[in-house]
Amino acid sequence: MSRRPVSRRPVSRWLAGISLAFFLTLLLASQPILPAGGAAWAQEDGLQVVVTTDPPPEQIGPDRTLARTTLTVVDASGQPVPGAYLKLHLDAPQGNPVISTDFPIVEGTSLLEYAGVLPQGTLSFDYIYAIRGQYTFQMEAGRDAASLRPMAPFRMTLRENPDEVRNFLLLVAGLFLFGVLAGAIIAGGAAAQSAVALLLLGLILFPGMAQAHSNDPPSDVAPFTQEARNGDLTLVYEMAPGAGKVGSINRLAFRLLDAQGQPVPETTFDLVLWHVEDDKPIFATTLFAPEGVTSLDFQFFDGAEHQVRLSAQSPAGEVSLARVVEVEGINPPMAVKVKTTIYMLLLVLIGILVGMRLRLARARGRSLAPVGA
Amino acid sequence: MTQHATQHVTEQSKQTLHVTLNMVVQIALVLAVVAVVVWAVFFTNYPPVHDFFHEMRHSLFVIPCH
Repeated sequence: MSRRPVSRRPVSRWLAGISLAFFLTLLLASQPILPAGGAAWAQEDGLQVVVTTDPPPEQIGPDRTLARTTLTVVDASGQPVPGAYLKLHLDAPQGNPVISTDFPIVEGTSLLEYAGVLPQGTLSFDYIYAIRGQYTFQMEAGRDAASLRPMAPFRMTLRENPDEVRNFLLLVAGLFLFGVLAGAIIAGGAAAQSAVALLLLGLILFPGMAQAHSNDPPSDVAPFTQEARNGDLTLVYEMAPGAGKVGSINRLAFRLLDAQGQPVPETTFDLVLWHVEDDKPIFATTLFAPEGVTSLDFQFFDGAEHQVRLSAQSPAGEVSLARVVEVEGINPPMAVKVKTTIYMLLLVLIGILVGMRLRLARARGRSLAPVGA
Repeated sequence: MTQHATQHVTEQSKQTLHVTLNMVVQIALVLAVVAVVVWAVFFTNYPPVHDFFHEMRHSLFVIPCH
């Protein structure tokens, strides 16, 4: 029996190996490889800012876990500094050129900005981080607003939810197996699949290519002001722009006024941003306003209605209000959608080639079988 | 004899070309159908389809959404 020439050795193993390597590369390239952050700090004038999360970063699932993030301004002995002033700027992770995150418009944008007094030296907020990747906390801290010093940035890396990775692998396997099946059928010489494909194309083409009738609010909505009263106290909530927009910052300003219209000192504002569709909070914090006025810059990362629930407590009393705000969703860039579609088609194509090769090898094996066997 | 062999080879080449083109067309059709299905399930903005597959889109590693 003669040896089969090198050039005719089956390539199906090579094709399977190439496809596996290709998608493992995609998988690895899209996952952050930097170590997850934990407590971290930067030291200036004896002050440090310690950043912790609960749960720890390795347990935070993007767009899923409501994590408590705590920033504490401590002195050289590690004790919190009462009345410290903190300025915080939080940036979203940069995008990945290989694979997009769930919210590509959010990548590389500003998420949160706040400056204010921390009565116990601590700022805490509950937050659902939108995407995987490396978040950057840029901070300035001082014993008061006049003595602010920049701190070394703190970086925190979140990995993708394991469920999403598992589902992705199932999708990869499904597409590949579909390709193998299609390749085997094509190589089998059947001609009817062309007609079936055309029929399927006609059935699916119309709803697939139809564009949405958008109900999103227009961009750059004018700022609004909402007030609530309780006795002599007036709680004022202002938002600019007047509607949220994925990828853009909104300024949320709060003030508590007395009967004379003057801000009430020593006011604490409790803020909760509630995702109406998912019926869950996406952000919550307590802000202290020694002069009765404070503000927060925030990005609504999901294009859905959110309810702003605000309450103000002061020695003079309490007032609460709630307001539903629209958030304009931004469709992912066409390039991202096309790129992802091409990845899937490549997977199917590799499966087709493997399926065809397997079918042809099997047919060749039958044709070489001895007569009468 | 030579003319007959030449004609046989030519016919074989034509058949091979026909089969190859047929396979290429079929592969292209399969990929086109897959592309349409993938686009409809994962990327279309058509609200009924978008809303129906919204949770699935967010449960997958590589599918971008708003």
